[in-house]
Amino acid sequence: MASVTARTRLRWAAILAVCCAIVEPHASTLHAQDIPDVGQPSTDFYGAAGSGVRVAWSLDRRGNPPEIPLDVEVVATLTVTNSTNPQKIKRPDLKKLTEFDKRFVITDTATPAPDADAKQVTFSYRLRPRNRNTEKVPELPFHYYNPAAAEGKQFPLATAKAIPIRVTEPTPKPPPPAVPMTEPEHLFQITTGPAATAAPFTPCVWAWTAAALFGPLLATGWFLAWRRLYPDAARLAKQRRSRAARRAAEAIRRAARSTDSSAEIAFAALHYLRERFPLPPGVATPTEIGAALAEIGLPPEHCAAALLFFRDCDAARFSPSGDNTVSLAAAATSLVDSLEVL
Amino acid sequence: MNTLVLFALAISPNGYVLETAASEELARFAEHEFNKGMTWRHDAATARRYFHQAARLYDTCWRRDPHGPELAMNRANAHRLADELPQAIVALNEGLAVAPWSRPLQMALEDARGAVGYPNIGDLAAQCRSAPASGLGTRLSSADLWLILGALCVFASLGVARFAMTRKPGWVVFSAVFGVVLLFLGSAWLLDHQQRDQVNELHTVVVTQDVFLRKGNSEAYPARLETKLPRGVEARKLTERGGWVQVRLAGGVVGWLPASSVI
Repeated sequence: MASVTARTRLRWAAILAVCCAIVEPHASTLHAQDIPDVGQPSTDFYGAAGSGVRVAWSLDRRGNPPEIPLDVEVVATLTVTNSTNPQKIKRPDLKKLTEFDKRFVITDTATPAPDADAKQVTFSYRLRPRNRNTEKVPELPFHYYNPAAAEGKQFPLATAKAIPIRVTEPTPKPPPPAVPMTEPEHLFQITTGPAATAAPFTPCVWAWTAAALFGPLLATGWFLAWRRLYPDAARLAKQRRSRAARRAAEAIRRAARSTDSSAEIAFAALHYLRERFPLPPGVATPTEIGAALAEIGLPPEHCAAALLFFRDCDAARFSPSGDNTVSLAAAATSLVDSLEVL
Repeated sequence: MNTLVLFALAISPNGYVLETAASEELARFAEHEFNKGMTWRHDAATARRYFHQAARLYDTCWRRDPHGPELAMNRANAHRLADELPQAIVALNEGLAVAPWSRPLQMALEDARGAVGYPNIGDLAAQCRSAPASGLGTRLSSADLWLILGALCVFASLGVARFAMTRKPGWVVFSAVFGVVLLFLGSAWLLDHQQRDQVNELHTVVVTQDVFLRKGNSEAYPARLETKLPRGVEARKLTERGGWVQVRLAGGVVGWLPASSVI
């Protein structure tokens, strides 16, 4: 009897096993709505269900620990295995997890949906370290739903363990292609040496004074040198400077052309003598003129020359014939010249 | 070796040697940097760094003691090659304030103004384009004038001396001609000098970035002109208030610019 009962139990067990085998594929495809809300963790639950679900990180870099340059992205892959609903597992958003966001700049990469009969699901992320202090890909807490577990323990925690990494200096970037300068050629020319810092000459007050005085001083020096080198010429110049002599010369020229030239020439010469020397007012005859000039202190030869000239003038005036106007004019000019050099 | 140490210190960030080195030393350092920039002409980015450094040294040299037009030209060229057009225009204006007669500086300023993106039409085109300087002072240096006036004075005096020797009236005319030219030239130069001093009483500022000329000293005021002043425009500074500068453009329009946008 006991063996029959045992056989019956075995049969039922076999039938049950077959039924379970038939039903299992359908039973394993749990829907999100199949997961009870009661007891569901508020964080770190992504809709995974199953018994003994495992999660793990893997990197696309080798090494112990893997070395990641600061400016390079590493592909981190989260693999969820032993889940009965891999198609229904939501992708963990690492950007919302402080531990990840403070360490990495995160870029999600497209992950293909798992096949209908897949036993696992993977999620890939591109992680770029924010600084060289980043020492690991942090662990990821991962709750899942275990329908076979006892009440209150249906959402156990699986953890993807942290992977230590070492962040290295950024890889040196290749320099950008060189672009030649296209500025005009004259911009590339500069003044070199002491000339570059040489200040331009700016005349000061003394320089302006010197320029103003240089001309007059030079002219004065020239004039003085000329007088010293050419004393006769200087005397002639002095003679020319005598206004009385110039007027007498002009008067003599005019007198030579007049009708009574002898008298006019004598008058012009006498006028010159009156202007040039302090002759008494009444002096008019040759003798008186000669005596007056001697009294003034003129050299005797000049006095005699003057006396002779005026006598010639008188002789010419009262002579019945003969035109000696030219000789009288020359004699008058000579007399003026000889007196002018005194 | 001593020079190398000085040079290393000169380009150091603290700039200690920049404060203590002689002007000639600074100019030599600047030349060195400029020549390095020349050797990198095939690579603009690298060359501009050297030209910028040379310009910085020339600026220090100039600020310590404004020298001649040669230093101003070197300074302006270094700034132009460092892609610092406003600074180059400032350098040329400062050079022309010292040596207004310098033809190379005048030509370089016109060349730099040609590189400013002035609009071709509209109010702005009429208002912001500076006219080239003119006048006797832009053609004759004081040294030239000193020589010319001195020579005229010499000729006039010699004419008088010759007249004293010969008493020929022609020499008086000769002296008078030179005297009149001397007086005319001297008066014209003095007048031009006074006018230039009046113009230079207002400091010239140059716009360093495209910016609106506003009717008041705040962003809240409307723009005086419908378009922005291009980088490199010159203006005369009238006053300054609250981080804003009141300026007058070459065309006479007065407005306000942020102090940070002019140098």
